[in-house]
Amino acid sequence: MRRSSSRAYAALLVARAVMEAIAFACLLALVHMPGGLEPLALTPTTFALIGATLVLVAALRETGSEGRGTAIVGTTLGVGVLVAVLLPTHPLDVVSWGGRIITFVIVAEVYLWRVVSLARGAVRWSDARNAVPFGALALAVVSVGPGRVDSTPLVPLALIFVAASAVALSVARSAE
Amino acid sequence: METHPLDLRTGHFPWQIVLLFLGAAAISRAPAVIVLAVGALITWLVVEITGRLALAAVDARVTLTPDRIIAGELPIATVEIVNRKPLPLPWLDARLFLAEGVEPPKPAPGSPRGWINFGFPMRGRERVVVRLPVRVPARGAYAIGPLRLRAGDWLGFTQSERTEITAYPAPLAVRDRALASLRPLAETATRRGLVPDPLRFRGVRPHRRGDARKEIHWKASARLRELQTKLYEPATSLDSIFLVNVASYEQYWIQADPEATELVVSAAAELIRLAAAAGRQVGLVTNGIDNLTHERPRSALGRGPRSLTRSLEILARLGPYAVGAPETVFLRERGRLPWGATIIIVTPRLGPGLANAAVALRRAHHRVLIVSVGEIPAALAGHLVVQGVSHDVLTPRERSAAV
Repeated sequence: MRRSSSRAYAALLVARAVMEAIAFACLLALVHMPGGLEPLALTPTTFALIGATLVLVAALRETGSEGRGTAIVGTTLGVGVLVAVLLPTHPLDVVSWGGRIITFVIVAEVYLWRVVSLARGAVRWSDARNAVPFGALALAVVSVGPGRVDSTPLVPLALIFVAASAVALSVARSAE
Repeated sequence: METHPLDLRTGHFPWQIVLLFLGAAAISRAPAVIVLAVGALITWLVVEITGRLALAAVDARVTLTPDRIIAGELPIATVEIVNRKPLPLPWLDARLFLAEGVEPPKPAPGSPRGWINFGFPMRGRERVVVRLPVRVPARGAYAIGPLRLRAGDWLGFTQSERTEITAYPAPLAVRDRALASLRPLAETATRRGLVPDPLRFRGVRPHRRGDARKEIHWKASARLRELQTKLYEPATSLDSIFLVNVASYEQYWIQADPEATELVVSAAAELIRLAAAAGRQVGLVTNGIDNLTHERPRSALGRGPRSLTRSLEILARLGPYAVGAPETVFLRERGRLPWGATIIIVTPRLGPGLANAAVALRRAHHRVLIVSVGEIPAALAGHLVVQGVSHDVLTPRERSAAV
């Protein structure tokens, strides 16, 4: 890969990671809303997800064994459960805990699925295009939703999301 | 800056989503949704503007160097693409179509041979030159192109496509690189000239009744006290007219032998090169058909590279089909042949008709040489010798070298 191509690829990966992180931070904020004690802080969550996405992309790009794949799926499930349990909540009954854990696990698995597609086909323009309405919808739902959310960083996040979408679409088209 | 009339635009931006976000922003008045709606609107505008201007002020040109080659050589197709507008192009795809007979130099298995693809991003006011070697394995005249350009908006939602219909040069190939030299053309008899050359002064002799007055050498006459007439070196015309017969059979309208035609073309090309290299004027008459124009080509007598190129070009584009019997065509040309010119008939076979035509040309004061690919019957050869027509047959070595 030429230097200019690798630079473009890196820009594409970072842009896509930012888009996915913003989208999943909003989704986490949504699923945390019903039982959470405090609204989920979106900025640190987004940064954490950007880092996790880049690490996972690097890990998933390597052709691994079946056992390694199972480990990644299991770890993601575990992280989903951990986040659901560790985030401060109201006193919840068993059904609410079960519902909370299941929604967090579903979000975690959807996140893993998105990251896998990013790791294996980052240059696909159609993937970048599909990520735009997904993230925008998540942001919009969090913004107009009735629950309490950390709304302060939503505008900068929306701005960053628009910019990252433009970069991802443009670079994916030229790199495809 | 206008879009090109030949541009074809495909793809569309999902403007419904923009309207949805605008509606949501208007209803909710949530700042983040407003940002998203404005972002979507700006994106739509960027897609529309850059999509419409994608191929505007983009010029492409294809040149081929050299445009006359030996078969098997790799001419270079140079594609020059200029983006004259200040807007950059994040991607530009180009496809250079190749005619049948022209192919990429080393096509990978399974890859198409009919075109070459390439692409790159372009900055504003940038000029990119791409050099693509192509392979022309067989003799012929080929046109490369057209060139198809594809570009799109900055975000990739729409694509514009244009096929550049410009005149492309035709690479020419003559398959005769290894042909051994043909000795008959070395017979440049100048001992008996048909016309005296006034530039070649040889001496004087005593004046005889009937000598032209302008030929009297006055200074020598005064010195010798007797009228002296100038003498000149005898000279012969160095003009060579090549009569190329492509009809391999007597029934030329039914059958054709492409292999024999190739040999004839190769031999004729070599002979023409030798003649041109010796400084002769060369011309070409054939009963074959030009593969591109479907007409019977002809090269007027001339000296220099242009005449040589024209003759080789005719040979390169010559098909294996004849428009008429060689004797008919060549005798019809008799009135247009320069007086005293050497006639070289290159033919796949020699029949009685063509032999009689050669004799007729000899009687019209032309030196005639027949170069045949096939054997000449002994009786016919004897008849030609008696009539003063030289003849020669391509040796098997020369034949194998030519193919």
